[in-house]
Amino acid sequence: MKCKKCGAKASVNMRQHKLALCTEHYLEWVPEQTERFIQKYEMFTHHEKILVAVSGGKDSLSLWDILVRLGYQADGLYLGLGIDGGINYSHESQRLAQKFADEHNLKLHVVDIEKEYGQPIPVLAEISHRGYGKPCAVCGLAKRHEMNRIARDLGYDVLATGHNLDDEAAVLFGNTLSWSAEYLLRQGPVLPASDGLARKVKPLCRFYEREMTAYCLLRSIEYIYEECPFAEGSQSIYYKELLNQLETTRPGAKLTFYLRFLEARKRGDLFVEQKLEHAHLHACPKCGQPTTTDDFCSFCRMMEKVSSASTS
Amino acid sequence: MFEGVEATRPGQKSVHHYRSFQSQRKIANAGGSSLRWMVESIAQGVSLVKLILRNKEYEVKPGMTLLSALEKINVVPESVIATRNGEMILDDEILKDNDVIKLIAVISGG
Repeated sequence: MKCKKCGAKASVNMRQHKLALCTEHYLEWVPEQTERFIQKYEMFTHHEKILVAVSGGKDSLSLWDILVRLGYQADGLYLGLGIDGGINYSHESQRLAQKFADEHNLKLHVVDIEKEYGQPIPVLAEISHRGYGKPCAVCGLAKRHEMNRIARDLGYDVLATGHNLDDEAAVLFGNTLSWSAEYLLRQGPVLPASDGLARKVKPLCRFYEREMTAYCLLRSIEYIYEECPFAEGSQSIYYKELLNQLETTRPGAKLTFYLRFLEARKRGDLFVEQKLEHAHLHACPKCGQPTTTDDFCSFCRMMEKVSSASTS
Repeated sequence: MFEGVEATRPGQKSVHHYRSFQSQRKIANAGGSSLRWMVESIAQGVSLVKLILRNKEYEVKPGMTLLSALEKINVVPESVIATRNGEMILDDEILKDNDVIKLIAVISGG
């Protein structure tokens, strides 16, 4: 297969775009497309300060690399979750995030959950009895809480995450299966800032997961290849596998699924948008972050439970 | 070129020849000719192509495309990237004697 731009041997073939590219042109094409998505969805400008949530995985490191190549002011945030799983998972992912930052002379903020809250994520999950025996729900909740807190505390304009199209399509698939209207209405490349919530953006939301892996390999970015030990058998991975089977026989199915959803949502074709107005947010009396409950937010309630259990 | 991203999960390696469910049916339908070919090939010292995905190894005949090989071993092509000698290869690449193909899983998340 030949590169569509120069005729050299292609390294990457994107069947959904009918586009094959050589290494050189692929590494030019990815940042060009990212810039196009940033502008199309009005994510941020070159004057704004961006905080990139970096996990040490392929997507977040690629995102950081691309934003820096495009000349954006992008610092990193690594959250130490305290997950070992017999493979030193958190330690290794932090090492790789730090290595990338050092090699590119970038600023990486490191926040350790155990130092901040007394326990690592698996123990917080165990004590708070959330998540049906797996720490993933607590992990997601803590990450969202901490990323928002730190982005605001440190004065960043926007928080960028490395979600790719497969991530988005899997979430969309799950929410469609259960017709979770409120979640469907919130999903998109940009979650605008509101009282207490930093703007969140997903500049890689139109790239396939395969394309981001290819980008990492071709850019020689060392990332954590091992899966989170708790992710094995997860629903989102199962949905991704199903969607990839569909994609193999129908190239472009994932992209169409996601883009048509965004178009329909924008037109207001999916649900009555007024429903969102019912989701009134209140400031949590403890941490001040917005919550839909009248009392403490979910995170602070969980931490209360953890504190009570620790003292009893 | 891709040091540090290869599978490191501990555990004993197991060799899976291409007798997956689908292929088993094909072998049965073909009267066992594929299996006979493999046994004869090994006896005659003919090389196979090795594919490695995380801690699993598979073997297929040389001369087929990467896409055919992935179908043989029941790996979804969209879920992996294939490399040979550190270089990425595409679905239409013909696999040759003694090739060692490393398959890099692309799905992550939880």
